[in-house]
Amino acid sequence: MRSDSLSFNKQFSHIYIEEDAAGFPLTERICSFFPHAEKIFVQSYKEIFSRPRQSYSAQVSSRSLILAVKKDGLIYEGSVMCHDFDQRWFYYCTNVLNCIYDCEYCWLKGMYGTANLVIFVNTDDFLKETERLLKEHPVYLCLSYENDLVPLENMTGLLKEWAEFTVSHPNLLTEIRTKCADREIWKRMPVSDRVIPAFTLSPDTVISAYEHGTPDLKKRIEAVNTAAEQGFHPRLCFDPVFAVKDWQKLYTEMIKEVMTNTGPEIIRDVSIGTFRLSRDYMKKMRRAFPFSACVQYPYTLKNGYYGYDDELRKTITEFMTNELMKYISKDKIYTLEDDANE
Amino acid sequence: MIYVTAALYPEASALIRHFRLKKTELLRGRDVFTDHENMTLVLTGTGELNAASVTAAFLAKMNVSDDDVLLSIGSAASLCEDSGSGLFIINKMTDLNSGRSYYPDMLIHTGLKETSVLTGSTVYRKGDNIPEGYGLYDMESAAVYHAAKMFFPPHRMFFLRFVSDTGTPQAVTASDLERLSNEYLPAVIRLVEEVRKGKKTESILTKEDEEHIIQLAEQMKCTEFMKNELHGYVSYAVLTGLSLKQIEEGLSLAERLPAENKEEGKKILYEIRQFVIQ
Repeated sequence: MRSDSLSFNKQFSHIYIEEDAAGFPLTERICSFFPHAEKIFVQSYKEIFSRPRQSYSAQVSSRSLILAVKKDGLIYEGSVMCHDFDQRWFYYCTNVLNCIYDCEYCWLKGMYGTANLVIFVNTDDFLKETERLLKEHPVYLCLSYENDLVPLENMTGLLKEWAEFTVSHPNLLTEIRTKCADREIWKRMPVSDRVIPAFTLSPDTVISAYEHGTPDLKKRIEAVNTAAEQGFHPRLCFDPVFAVKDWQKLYTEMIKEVMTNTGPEIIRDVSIGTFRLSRDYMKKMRRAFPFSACVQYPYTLKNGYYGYDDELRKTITEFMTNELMKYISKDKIYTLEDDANE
Repeated sequence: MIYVTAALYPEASALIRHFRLKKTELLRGRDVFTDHENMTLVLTGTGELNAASVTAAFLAKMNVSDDDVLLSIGSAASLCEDSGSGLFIINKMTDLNSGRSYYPDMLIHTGLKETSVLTGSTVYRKGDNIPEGYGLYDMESAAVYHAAKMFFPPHRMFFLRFVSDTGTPQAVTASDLERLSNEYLPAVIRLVEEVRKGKKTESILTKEDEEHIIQLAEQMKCTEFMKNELHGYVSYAVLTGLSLKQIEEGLSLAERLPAENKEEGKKILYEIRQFVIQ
């Protein structure tokens, strides 16, 4: 169905609203953000989001929004496949399901199989659940885990709310992972050393080949600097790193560009990771995206996950570590190998 | 191919005439019209049971492919002022009996008004006690969707309904339906033309490549698993700009094949993998 000559409805021209979600302030806010959108009431968000046989490729040109109330599973423990940055109590939050960017390698495509987004409007319940956990122990909470909240901030205001909540809860550390280059967002956020803006960075060759709809490297670097100017200590995430043609040269130049245009002193820490994806998600993505070289690469299956061969993975990690150590001390560099060895 | 369903002939007559569809004996006991190339239309008869059973039987007989589309056309009663008259594209249909709702993807800009439809098993008469919040009432939509979802994904199903009455079915005649189907024909044609612009499914490998891979797999003494791996490696190679010929030449396969046994084939398969990812 996807074709350049077809005339598609605009992005978010349709908003599906769970009956229970009507009346929430966030529902009102989002609906007024899209005053001309068609509003369709549904009993459960899964009626839309989880329909069988959806096509990401067809839907990506005209995504729909789904507003819902999350009734359980508000906060989850972090996956072993993700960096924990030495944080014992690593959790993630699912305010929003799915991402507006179209990265070919993204595991969300394997997990959901739809381009539509769900926004859970009962923010207070997420905050209360976090408070419950905070009574037991400190919490390291990743906010943008199954989404990228930054490009949605003007629509939702969720990040500002979470940042204010973090400021008022001393045992809470939150990470906001993003590829978005909207600099204004950081100017409106309350500044705290316990709110970590985490920017995913890639060489422009990888961005244009695989990270469709995302800002280029220069713009992302500008966003890093803006966040730092406001008083944040940004995290840089070189994850996933791809062994594309001339990858050593591309990543060396990228690290140089990033470090010379930001400055090691403003960086909180960096993470390095290579592409990895669970077997089930890979199976779905290979079927759904037959023309994606990134997905069709003959990865090695190990312990239920597809990724590069051990040797190549280690080579990439060591290479990236060594390049970064030209600018930043080793204790600020986190790799998945470190996590696995702990 | 566009597969069309309609309950009654007068609802579809304008479309049948415009696309010069000819009656055919594709489905016993039901009228089917086709041009054998781009469009095939079935008359399901009225009511949910007819709609579901005939749609399922019809589509099961057709060889529905990944590029095909379902278009359901018909009439409906208006339930509110907003949907008082006109042609609508349906964004939600609910089966009154089960309460189950169905939602086709609304991706293509049609310029048509949208609404929801309630599908019941009896004729609606003004004053009947039915749930609120729906624009239209009919006796087929949800049933057609339920049967067709076995064959079509949600982005390849389109439901169009024109308003025939406001809960006064006794006042609707066959000639009224025919007149309305004529009136809204241009909009239906526009949707058909838009849908036809959809990109057709393409393959990474040519037919020759596919045949060649089968030959290679035989010469390499591949198991079914190895054959799938080989297919994946060659597909990846083609995506990155390498041809099957370049792989064969690069690894001098012509001189090394046929392999003596599966073990030797495995070694060659590994070399092919390393060659395509280098």
